[in-house]
Amino acid sequence: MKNNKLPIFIQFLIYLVIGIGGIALFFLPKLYDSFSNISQPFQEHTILYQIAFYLCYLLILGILGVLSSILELIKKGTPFKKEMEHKLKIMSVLFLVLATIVIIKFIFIPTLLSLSVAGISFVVGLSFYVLSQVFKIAISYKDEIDYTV
Amino acid sequence: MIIVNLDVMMAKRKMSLNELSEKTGITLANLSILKNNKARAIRFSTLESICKALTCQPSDLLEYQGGEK
Repeated sequence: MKNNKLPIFIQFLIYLVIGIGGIALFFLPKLYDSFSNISQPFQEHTILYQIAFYLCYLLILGILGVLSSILELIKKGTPFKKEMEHKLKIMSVLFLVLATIVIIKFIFIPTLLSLSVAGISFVVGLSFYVLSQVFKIAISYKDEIDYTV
Repeated sequence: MIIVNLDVMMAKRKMSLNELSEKTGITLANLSILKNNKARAIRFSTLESICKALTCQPSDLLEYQGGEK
């Protein structure tokens, strides 16, 4: 994996998305309004909806940031570290928080899209948690081998 | 827990870590793991080569002490 160009390319894409996403953060209401199929403009939504929208946006940027750092560990060729387990757990928490916010939004404004996003985020969050546990076991096995003289 | 008394035996034989590494063929990193009691397991072949180099018994190197690591 050390000389694999795929993680480098994916990381470049993530950085690009984070960069564009970061800039877009300042124009979020305008971007929101630019979609023709929305029910009402961003400013007309309740303050809680606006906060939740910004929070979800920031969470996604955070997820991309953590994903980038995971790829960095893979690029270095040292994925079986405590750091990786920790990052996977953070990913899991971020996805579960995202799912919770979208579910709360779904309770007040029920749409099929919200339900789908919440469901997918929940499953992905759980998957990352399972993956972190797999890595935890793998790291303990690696330690066992590394410290066998 | 099992304690590796490698440093004690090395001091008794007046042997440095480098010298032991050369005699046994065990890397300095691995000898350091043993010396600092960080090893989780030790192969018989490793134990044999250390015993041969230090002219001692495995019991001189390993010691059991009560309590968890």
